[in-house]
Amino acid sequence: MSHRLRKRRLVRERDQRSMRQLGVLFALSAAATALFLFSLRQRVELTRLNYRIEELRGKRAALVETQKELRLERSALRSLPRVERLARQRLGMAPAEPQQMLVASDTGAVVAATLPSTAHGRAEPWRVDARQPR
Amino acid sequence: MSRSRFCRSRLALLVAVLIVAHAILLWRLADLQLLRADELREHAERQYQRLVKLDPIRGPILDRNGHELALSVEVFSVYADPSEVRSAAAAARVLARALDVEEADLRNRLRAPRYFVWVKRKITNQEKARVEALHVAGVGFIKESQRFYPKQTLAAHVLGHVGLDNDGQAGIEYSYDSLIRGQAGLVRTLKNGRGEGFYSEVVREPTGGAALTLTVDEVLQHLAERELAEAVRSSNARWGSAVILDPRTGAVLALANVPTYDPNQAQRSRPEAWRNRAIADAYEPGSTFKVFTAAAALEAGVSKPSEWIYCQNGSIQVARRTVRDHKRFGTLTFAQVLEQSSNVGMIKVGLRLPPQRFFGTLTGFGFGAPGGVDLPGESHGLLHRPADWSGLTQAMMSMGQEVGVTPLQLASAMAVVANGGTYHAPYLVERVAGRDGQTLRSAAHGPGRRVLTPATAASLRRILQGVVLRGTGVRAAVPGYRVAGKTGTAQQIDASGRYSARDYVASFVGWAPADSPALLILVAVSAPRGAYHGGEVAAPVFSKIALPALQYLRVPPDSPQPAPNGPSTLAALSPTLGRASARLR
Repeated sequence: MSHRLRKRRLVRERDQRSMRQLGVLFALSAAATALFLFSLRQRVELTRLNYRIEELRGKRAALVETQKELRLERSALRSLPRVERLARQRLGMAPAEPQQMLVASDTGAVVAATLPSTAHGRAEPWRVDARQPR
Repeated sequence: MSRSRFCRSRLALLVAVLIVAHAILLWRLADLQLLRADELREHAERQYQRLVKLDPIRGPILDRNGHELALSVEVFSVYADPSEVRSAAAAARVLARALDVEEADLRNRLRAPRYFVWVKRKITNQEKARVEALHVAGVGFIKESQRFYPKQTLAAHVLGHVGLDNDGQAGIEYSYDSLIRGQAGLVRTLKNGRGEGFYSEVVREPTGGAALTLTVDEVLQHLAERELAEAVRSSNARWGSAVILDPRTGAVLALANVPTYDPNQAQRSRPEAWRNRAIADAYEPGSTFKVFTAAAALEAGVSKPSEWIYCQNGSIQVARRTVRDHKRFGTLTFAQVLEQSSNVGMIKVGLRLPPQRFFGTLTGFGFGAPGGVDLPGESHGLLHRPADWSGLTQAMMSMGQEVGVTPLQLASAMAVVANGGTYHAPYLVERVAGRDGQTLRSAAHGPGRRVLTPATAASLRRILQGVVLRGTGVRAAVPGYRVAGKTGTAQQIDASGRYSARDYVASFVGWAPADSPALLILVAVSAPRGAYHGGEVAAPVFSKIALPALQYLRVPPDSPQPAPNGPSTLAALSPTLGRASARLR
């Protein structure tokens, strides 16, 4: 008889109290894990943004330097000895002679002009028809 | 032993082992976290944290119109960590070829027991590309700041130059070094395992250097340098200097010297080319100094412009010395003595002056002391006190000997006559601005120091116009403008201490327009060959600089009649056009 009793299927009684405790533990663990993951994500995002900031800082610094280099290059290209040399050699220009210049006597502004030469080789003044409306 | 006792003893042993193990762990924890915390934190920080020094950016130097004359940009420098270089000989061989450096010297540096050596500083982009292509282990690049002078030789003696560590060594770069060099900053950077920075924190911001705006005008500087260089070249002279001043304020608009150099390659130039002769070299000015003798005589009332002076047929005996004129002048007016530059006439005028009065007037003109211009190495010149004068000194000084002046001193002194009698100290820096543009300093435009009465200055201006119209300075004439000035031809003292029969300083100093001066220009050429008089060598250079300079500044011609070969005015050609021009203003 006792042997038969031993062979009968044992039915485990559910421990409701333990189940509740496990449930609570699971919920707490899940919450802690979620919090941990959220915090981790924040840190990861912060690190990612720091990389991005560093990258942008580097780009900005490079652009500032590029701008300076361009200013330098512009300044060198505008160097007057260079401009004069190019004007003479490439464009065949030369400084105007004093007798080729027309000056606004009030302002001192110079209009360099080539005046037609006379038979004697001297420059003839411009002829202006005073009757023409200006 | 019963079973339960056996189990208990094993359990106790297990517990004891666990306790010991945990105790070891706790001790290790305490050791790492408490006892060695500082040491380990430092070690970790060295690995992942780096403090980077940020080079200060040297402030720019601009001309008076804001054009850059000197600018700093970042360039790369090559370094090596010898501990990571596999083969110093092989690395030195390829790097030396790529960077054009001494192979043996580089090899020695790569074998040094250090963690950092320079391979080459401040390299070009092409050199960087060549080194990168070599993939040499242990070699890296660091950014540094380098100074550039985009206009090359323009205003070299004004700007000066910097050394390899961006320290000013000459010129404005030296005088204003503390203001324009700025201060290095510090940044704390966190690195990851690959050595990449992912976070940086500025510990100390770098302060950029101040920006300097000079009184120098790029166009006027170019004109002065171009014509001076041509004059020195064509006359085979030893050196030349040219100064352009605004006589109303003392602002230095141009300062040129020949020989000159390129500040971008200062170390490759001869050191004598660095010498700023316009401020550092005093020479006997000769006849240009007669203007100041005449000024002293008029101020003291011992002479009048209208008086006649007997020039003794061009010869006078002073102490035991005979002084001669270049022509046998008979009787000349006071004005003619200056126009024709008679030594005899001017000695007679000068000897009338009480020595202390003469000396006082000359110091008022700024002679014998530095003008205080913003450049290093300015000479005092030479002006002996009356107590040290010999029997000959006052006579010699009257005609510009036994006195030493620099070109800038002479120009500043002549500006007194040009502007109506006031001395203004010469200056080069108009404004100092901080990085955010605010003005830190600006030139103080003071009232100056009254040296001559306006009447004396006006008399001298009229007389000095005669020098250019009729006298020794006719080749200084500028078409369309009235010019006043004085020539000088002074013997130089040779190595034996005597006056040379061969070497002269040919000079001309003048201004235009004569009655409302916009520009004062001095030209001095040392030891010209062939022609050597101031009127032949220096006066034409004045004219070649002055005409385009006046036109660039839009100074209206003031000559009442246009010169035969000069520019025409609109008003002279056509009244209609002249009126239209006036309406357009």
